[in-house]
Amino acid sequence: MRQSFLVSIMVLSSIAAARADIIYQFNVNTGSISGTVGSLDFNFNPGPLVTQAATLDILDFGSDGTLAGGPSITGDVSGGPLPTTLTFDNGSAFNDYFEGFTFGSSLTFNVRLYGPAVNSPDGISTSGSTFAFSMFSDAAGTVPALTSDLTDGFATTIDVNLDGTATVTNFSSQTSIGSPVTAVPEPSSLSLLGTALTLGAFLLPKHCCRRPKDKVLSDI
Amino acid sequence: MLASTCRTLFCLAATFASVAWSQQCSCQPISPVSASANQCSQSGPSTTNGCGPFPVSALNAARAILAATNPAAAAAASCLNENNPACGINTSFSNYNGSNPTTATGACDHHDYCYSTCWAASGDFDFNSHKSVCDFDLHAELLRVCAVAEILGQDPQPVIDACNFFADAYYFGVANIPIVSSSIYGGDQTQACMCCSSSSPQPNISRNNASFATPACISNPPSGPPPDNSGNWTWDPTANGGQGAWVWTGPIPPPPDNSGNWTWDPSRGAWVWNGSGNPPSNGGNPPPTGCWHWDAASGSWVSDPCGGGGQPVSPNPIQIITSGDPNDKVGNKGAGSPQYVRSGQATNYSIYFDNIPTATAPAQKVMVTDQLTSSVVDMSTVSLGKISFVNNLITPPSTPLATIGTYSTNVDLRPAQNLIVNIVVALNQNTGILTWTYTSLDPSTMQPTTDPLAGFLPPGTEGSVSFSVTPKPAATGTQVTNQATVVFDVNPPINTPIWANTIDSTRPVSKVSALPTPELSPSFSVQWSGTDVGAGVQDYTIYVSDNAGSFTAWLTNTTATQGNYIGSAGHSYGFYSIARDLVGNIETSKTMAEATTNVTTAVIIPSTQVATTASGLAYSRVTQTFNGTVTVKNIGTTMIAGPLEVVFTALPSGVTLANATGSIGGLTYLTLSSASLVPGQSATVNVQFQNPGNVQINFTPVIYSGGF
Repeated sequence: MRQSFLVSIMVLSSIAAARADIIYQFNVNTGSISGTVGSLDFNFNPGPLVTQAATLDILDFGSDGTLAGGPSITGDVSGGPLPTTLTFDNGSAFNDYFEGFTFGSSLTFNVRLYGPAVNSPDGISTSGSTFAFSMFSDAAGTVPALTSDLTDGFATTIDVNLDGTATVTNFSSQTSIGSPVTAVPEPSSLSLLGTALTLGAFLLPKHCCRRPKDKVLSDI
Repeated sequence: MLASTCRTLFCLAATFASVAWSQQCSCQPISPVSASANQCSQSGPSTTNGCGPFPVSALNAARAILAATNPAAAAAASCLNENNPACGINTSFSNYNGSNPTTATGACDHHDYCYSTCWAASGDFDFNSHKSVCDFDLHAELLRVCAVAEILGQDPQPVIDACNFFADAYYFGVANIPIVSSSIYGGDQTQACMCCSSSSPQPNISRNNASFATPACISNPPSGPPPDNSGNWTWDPTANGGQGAWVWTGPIPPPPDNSGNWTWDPSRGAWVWNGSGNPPSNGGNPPPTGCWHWDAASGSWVSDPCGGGGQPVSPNPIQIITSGDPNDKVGNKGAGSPQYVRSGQATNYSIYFDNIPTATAPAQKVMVTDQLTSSVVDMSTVSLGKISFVNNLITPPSTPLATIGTYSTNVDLRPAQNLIVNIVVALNQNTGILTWTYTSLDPSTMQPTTDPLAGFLPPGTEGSVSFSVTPKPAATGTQVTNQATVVFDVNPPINTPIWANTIDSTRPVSKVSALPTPELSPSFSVQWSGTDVGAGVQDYTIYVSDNAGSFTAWLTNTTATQGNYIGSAGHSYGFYSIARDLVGNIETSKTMAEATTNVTTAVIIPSTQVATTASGLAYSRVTQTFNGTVTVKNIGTTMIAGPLEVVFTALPSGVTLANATGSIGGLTYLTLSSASLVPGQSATVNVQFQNPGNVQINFTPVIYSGGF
């Protein structure tokens, strides 16, 4: 009984140490530039020092605007094209998705951050990673739109900090970013199976072999 | 000439006094003078030199001889005046002014003129005894001076005795000293002996040199070409009983009648008739040397070996003995293929001559002639180098030849070989001709040996001469060429290869490259470079000034183009370079630094006291830069004094810090904070990188405390 208790504590502790993914819900009021033939840019890059791996998804992209199609993709970006989910890994220096876009009245998408840098920070890395979202009022992506950061043109940036947290800097008053929604990571099938087997190895035999003396005796 | 005559006399006297001839008789060249009443049209020495000059030691030696028999006369002759050795009132040998048609006023000058112009002196009706007449006249004229002095009665008897002694002595020296071609006076004597009548102007030089007898005059060469108009003939003035004849000196035996009617067939060793019509009956006369038989079928004289009694024994032709001369010339190797040399740098030349191993006789006389160009080289700088032949090495004085005039020496080969080799080197500064003459002398006569098998340079041996001369200042690229000519005995002159150098008179230029300011480390790199028109840069000397002090050489004559200078924190440094090219031209001196820097006093904060972290780098399409932050935290227990700087080291190629505060030691840096950091406190600075290649951006941050 004492063994089964310890294993249960171990499994529960393991689950508790894994931090949750971080999800931000972006909602941009683009009504002021509706009809503008512009462009959108998303990039997610590591820092210049030792950087732990991290992944970012662009989910649930929706707008009454029109994507131009034929995005320009650089680096470690998979999935897509929008509105299909995009996945950015920070394994290379420049991971970027750029696509022409005719703005409508609004634009929504979710950003999900996960991976070791988010879910299990190692405590020794010295650089985080940063996500940048930009809107431009030209197709070439040179004229920032809906942002106060006219120098760099960023609408919003999200820094993945060394402790697994994230810091949002929003330069766009037209952009609202919902509080982060954390999602408990689902154990993978193998992890689940391993856990089950471990539990079975320690718990099931004792249940199986323990004689229900009282019941049996009472039955006798 | 009396100058030269008298010199000879006193050189003899000096010899008696154990004074070395070669040291005391350093005779000077004598200017030629034209003569109107001459027969040979030879230019001769000046007629106004008087007697002498002689070395005082020679005059003293003569007085010593006189003192042995007449001490009073020797005492009277104490003035040591070569023109008036008796030191009397009327005993000057310049007093005589006889029938000399020139302006010469003394017996000695009269004698000079007689020698050099073949002037028909009194009683000289036979040119074949010309030299003897000149000498006889000299004696008579000198004695006449003394006789006149005695008649005038103004000089005491010891003076008259001394006058007569010196008159005899001068004549003795002139009349009894063998003609030595190596002495400067020997040339005058030779000229005198060469005088011949107008009907037979060709002197018999060899006979003249061989003895003191007056020369025989022989015939000129015939006016026409040699018998077969080839280079196989040499005119021998001594042949044919002194009448002269064309002598076959070609590699094959001479033709039968010394005519051009015969063609040599080397495959048969035969002279084949090639004249018009039929050959002479039975071939006519056979070739003059060797053994031959007439082959009527082929119309040719066929050579045979000679056996006893000169009869033919085999078909081999006889061999004419002769020396052979391959030669070579080398000079300064110089720099590069143009063989650059520095303007004003002495150029050394060596001329080699070999008697080829297949030669059939040793070389008796070798003359090496080098034509120098006065517009290109400075004649006054010609100095002799070593002279050699076989195993003999002579080292002439290093004094410029223009100073000593002529260099002459004898090399005694006895007892190994009964020869004395006379070597004379002379430079004619007017013509630029520098000549070395080796002559094999018979020690018994001190005249050229008459043994055809004797000579100083046997087959298969080598000789050489060398000299140096300084080119005149010239522009870079000016060619300096030199070629010598070597003559072996009677062989035709052979030119050596031409040795060419190119002048490089251009100084190199160099510069120390600009240095970052300030330098982070006391040990920093300094780079320099240079160029040169011509030979190219050989090396550099780098000078440094510390804290504006005087410049001192840091690296001397280094071929490197960069070095690590080790200075001190807080010091300033200035550098300049001086280049030297491959021929020794040195860059114009400098007084100002070409590159300056100073070494910072800021110190590196160790990683145990500071932690550096960075954000991710967001890419801006507007600025086309990767933007983020760098944060520095004091993790130590003590305050870190400001200002603080982050130096970005080890940035990848192509990545630059776009918002750098500045650069130091070739590295960019950002000022993090002007304030100090207390323990636990952090400071953050924005960073902006340009990364057109989208390569991974990384760097090693180094944190400095203290201002740059």
